[in-house]
Amino acid sequence: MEGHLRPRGVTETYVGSVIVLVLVIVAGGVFVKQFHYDRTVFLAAAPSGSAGKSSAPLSPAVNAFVDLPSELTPLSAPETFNPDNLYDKIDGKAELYLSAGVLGLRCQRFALKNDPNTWMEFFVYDMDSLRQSFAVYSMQQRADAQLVDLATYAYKTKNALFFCCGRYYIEAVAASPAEEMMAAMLLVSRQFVVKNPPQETRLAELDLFPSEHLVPNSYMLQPADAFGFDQFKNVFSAKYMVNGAEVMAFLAIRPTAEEATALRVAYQQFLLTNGGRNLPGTGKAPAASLAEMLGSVELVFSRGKVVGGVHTAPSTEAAQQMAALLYKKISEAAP
Amino acid sequence: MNIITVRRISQIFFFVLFIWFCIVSSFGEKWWQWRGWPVNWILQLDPLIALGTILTTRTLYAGLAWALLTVALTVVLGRFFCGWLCPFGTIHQFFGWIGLRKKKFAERVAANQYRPAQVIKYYLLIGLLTAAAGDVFADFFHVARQWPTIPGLVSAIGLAAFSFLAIRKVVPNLKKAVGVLVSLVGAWLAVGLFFHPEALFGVSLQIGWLDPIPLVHRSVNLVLLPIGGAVMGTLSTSPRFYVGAWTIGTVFLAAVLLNFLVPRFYCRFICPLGALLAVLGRPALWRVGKREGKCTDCELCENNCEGACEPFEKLRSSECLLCMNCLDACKQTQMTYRTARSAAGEVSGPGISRRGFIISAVAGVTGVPMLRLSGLLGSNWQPRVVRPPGALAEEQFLERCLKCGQCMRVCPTNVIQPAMAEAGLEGLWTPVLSFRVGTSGCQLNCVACGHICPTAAIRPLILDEKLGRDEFASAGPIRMGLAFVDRSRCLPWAMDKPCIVCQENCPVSPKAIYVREEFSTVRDGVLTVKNATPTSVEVCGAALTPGQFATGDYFCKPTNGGDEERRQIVECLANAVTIAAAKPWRAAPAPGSRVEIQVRLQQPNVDPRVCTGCGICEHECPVNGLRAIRVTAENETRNRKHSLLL
Amino acid sequence: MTNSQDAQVISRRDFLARAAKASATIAATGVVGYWLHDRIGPKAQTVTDRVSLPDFSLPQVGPKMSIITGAERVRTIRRAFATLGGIEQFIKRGDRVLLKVNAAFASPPALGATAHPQLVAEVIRLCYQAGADSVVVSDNPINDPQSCFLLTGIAEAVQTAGARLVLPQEHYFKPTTVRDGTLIKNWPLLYEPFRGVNKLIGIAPVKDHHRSGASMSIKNWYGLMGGRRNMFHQDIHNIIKELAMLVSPTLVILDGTTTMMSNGPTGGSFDDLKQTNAMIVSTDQVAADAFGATLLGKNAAALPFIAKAAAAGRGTADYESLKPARDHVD
Repeated sequence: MEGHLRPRGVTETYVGSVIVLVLVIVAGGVFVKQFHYDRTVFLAAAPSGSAGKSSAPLSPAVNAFVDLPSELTPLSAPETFNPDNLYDKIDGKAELYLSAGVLGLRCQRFALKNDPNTWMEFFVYDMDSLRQSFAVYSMQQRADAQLVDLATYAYKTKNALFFCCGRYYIEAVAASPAEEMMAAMLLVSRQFVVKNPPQETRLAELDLFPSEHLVPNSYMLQPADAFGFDQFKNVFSAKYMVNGAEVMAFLAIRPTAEEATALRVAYQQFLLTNGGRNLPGTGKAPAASLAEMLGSVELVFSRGKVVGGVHTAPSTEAAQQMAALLYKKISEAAP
Repeated sequence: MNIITVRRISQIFFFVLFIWFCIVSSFGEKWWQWRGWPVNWILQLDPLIALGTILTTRTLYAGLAWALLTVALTVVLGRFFCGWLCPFGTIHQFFGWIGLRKKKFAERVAANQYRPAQVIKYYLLIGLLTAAAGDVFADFFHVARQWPTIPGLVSAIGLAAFSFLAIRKVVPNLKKAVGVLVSLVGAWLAVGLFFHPEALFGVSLQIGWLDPIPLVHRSVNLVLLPIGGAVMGTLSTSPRFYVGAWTIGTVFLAAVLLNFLVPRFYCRFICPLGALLAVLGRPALWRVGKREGKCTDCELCENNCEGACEPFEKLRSSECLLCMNCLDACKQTQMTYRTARSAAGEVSGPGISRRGFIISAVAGVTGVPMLRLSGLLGSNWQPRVVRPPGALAEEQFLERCLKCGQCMRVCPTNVIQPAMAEAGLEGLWTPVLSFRVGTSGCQLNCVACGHICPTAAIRPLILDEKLGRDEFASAGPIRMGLAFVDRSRCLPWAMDKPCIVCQENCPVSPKAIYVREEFSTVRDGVLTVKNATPTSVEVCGAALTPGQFATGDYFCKPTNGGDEERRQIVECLANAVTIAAAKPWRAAPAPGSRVEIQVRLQQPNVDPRVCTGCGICEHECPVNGLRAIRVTAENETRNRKHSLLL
Repeated sequence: MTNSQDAQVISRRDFLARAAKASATIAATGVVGYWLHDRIGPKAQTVTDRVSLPDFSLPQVGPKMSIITGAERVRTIRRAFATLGGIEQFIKRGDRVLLKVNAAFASPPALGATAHPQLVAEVIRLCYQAGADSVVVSDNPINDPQSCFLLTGIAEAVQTAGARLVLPQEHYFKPTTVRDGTLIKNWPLLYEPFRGVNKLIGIAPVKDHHRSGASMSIKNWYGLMGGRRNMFHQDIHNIIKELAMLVSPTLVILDGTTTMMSNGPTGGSFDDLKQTNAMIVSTDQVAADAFGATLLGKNAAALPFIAKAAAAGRGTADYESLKPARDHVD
């Protein structure tokens, strides 16, 4: 074929170089172009969020949503959900929020301006009261929680931030653990608290728990079906280390003393019908019913409007000890 | 630098670019996925696609404007596209080279001789363009009825002038020419005014059959990449399947193997794009040719001539595809690329005969209405043709679809398939959905196919429009079809077996599949009581399989129990069933009385107001062969005539 | 070397010619490309050629109704118009009239399923007598149009009377939407016969109807619908109401001479028919139908579409309030 060496003219080389240059430019153009595309084609968009369905709109403060710090830029449009379609966003978890009386959810994704691949999603649940927002907050507290001073009830984990701001329960969940993103999330959250100052910041019921031997961060509020008993609504609990063993103290407040007594009796009955075995009282104060259930000790008493007790104690002594502490605190609060 | 080297670099560059574009046309944002890669660029550079869609739709859609660059460069330089850019041409050149490698000089020169059959590609081009120009012809006659308008008048006068010039070429006698013009105008008026010639013409874009760029995309996307991906295991998350891909592969293979018969067989004889570029390149400012000087008649220039354009003799400039092999081969440096024509002369045109022109034009024009006689666009529309979301109504769809296979390649669930017979001959290899072949149904939040379609045969949807949200809430979601439960095959309807897989998987909210509870006594389910306690029933005869009725779907009901409700069975032994402790019998069935074992069936029904035809239900249906719930094209939004509801 | 000089000149001239052609081609394609460029692409099926029917009613004439009894259609219709002040009250000189007849079935006139050809012919004659410029007769039958108009005798009547028959064709239909309606949305309407027309008269027999209870003057407009119109039978009373909203005729002629009492709308047996000998001409189609119901022995209240149409403001079911002119012709 080209066995011989054909003399090449300057023109040929020049033209050839120009063409190769064009090809390089084309390659460069293609390379640059692949960075620029319509993200919405790829974003698995959240299903029906916007107000099309009925139901109470979220309160105006939340509609103002968030003041974005300069580091963040929106990654997707804000979405709104009402109790009917909450499932669409958080699937099975919706049960938890629905049982706690959620009114609505507003959420949006944000990314770091200088690194769009680092992003987080900001969820604001309107739980209608601090009590209810605390309920969902406490029921989901993660093991590696680290308290932050954002609010009375606030903690962070490696990639997320959870806190109660009055009636709102906020979750800021980053796609990956990143220092810069956590800092930005804290900033946004602080601004949120400033913009939506809570009417209630702490729950008075928690003051009824004694502070000695308390396992930190173990407060919980179960809005419904606490310990499997359907009459146990809005039950507060906290964990304690008594004589080296962990016990759970709980209390529930009823509007009248009669109802509290009735609840205590009903719970007792519940324990017995479900395989519990009555235990003799220790004779020590407070007067309480004890039952052995599935290998651990259950205790329940009532004082005034409060039903209190101990759940899954290792022994009668531990249960009674815990009960005494709890009873004392309750008596102090409402003599 | 040798110009041949540059040409090879260019061919390899565009070939690699083409293959890369095909590989990355998969849904996702990683660097090896679609992202912003301009995967349609080579299709957009193709002027035949631009011209075809201009004729069928009177618009030049978005990125197809790139074709103007190709046209401009072709008009100035000649058929550079064929020799330097076209990936299909590169494949043919490569295989042609292999085929000729061991051949002697005389054989090679013979192989590269011009053959009169090379004119066939022009006839193919004419046929395809006239098939696409049906609307233009219809309008031409329509103008006769509307001509008092200014644009009508202008175009009528323009046409008359143009026709007169054309007639003059054929009929030299002036009086006769005028006579011919007058009679033609009269005929045109008569036909336009008294008949409805629009009915005669149809419009169809069928260039996808033979235009090399869609053809090569289709072959790579639907045949080579799926096979290569299966071998390498990297190109997609799961193996890709395409119905009827063997037909596409056979065409591709045939085209490639024909290069062993004649090098660049496809380019020389078949390619309509090459024909179009040849016509455009006629006034090329720079052309290959001989210098004035001493040609030694060695014919080395024809050793590797790709276009079979006979540079040795009168160069056929319409066939020259600027491969520059003759420049490189000529020992006397007689071959060159310059503004003056070849010193040995040029053959000006491709040699289209008048007869051939008329035959191909008429074939193109009449072919479409003939195909349309099947009524596939009217009452005989095919319900199996479920098109991707955003597809235009069938008539408009066939004006745009190139059968390039891009949508089939990008679809993340592999449900878009090339049609075989379903959509008629015009619809061959156009996209239809098959939910059995794919890995799921059409994903609710995916709009990839419309965004990748180079001609908007599938419209690029925004998610709001596809789902019927916000400003599209009154229009409702885009529906591709409707799911129909086949009650003769559905497990809860026909086989007494509980199943709600379709309802569970329905992705829309509220679900388009809802269930109705039915209780049905199972086969051999009427039993005689031997003994009963508040929570169990012992039956005569060891008739039951242990555990059979304990799945939670079975209930026990006394046959003559009055208002005694059926109770859920929680345990099942060979001769006894236990019912849930929470609801014991009010009155335990007496020994000797009858009880029935009943199965709770949740029978699915489809709500046509909400179903989008996404096919996930069909895909998930456990009746694996002929599915018990199937989507067909009724109620598709792209054609209101197929609507099922008011 | 003149030869090579010549060759150079020729070659330069040829180059310039090619350069000119090339630039012209590039310019032309550039212009065409720019002019036709479409960034957005096709939209969802939008309807650009939607039409709506004009209002053919004559409010200045006021609500008028005439009920004439008699066995001879030609006589009763003449008398009916006479009692209303003559057809000249409605049809003026130079008017272009459309007669929308019921030619739904390829049924002989005696079976009473379609408009009677004698009646049609007489109405045409009366229109011309009033000085109408043109009279067009049309319908979109259920069966094949050609055979329908032929077997019903209407085609011949039209030809004899000198009017023009328009058979429906695919491109005669244009989409229409009824404002405040829910059913007729971008639905194909037989529009071509309406071109240039300024008066509309509906001619329909009184018939029982299996689905809606009765098919009279309002239901007659169903014959203007195209497409898969049988779908509307899913919601028959509402579609009849929307037909009343769609069409505002100048007049309706409801022929109750032989009423189809049962097995409507096709009938098929003479036993289905009853000689009720009534001819109704009315400007109010709801009132006409309300009276027609009595011929069928039905209560207007038993026909929901009458109440719906009245509620939609398309007329009144209380036909007596129109003070219908009554007379008898032997």
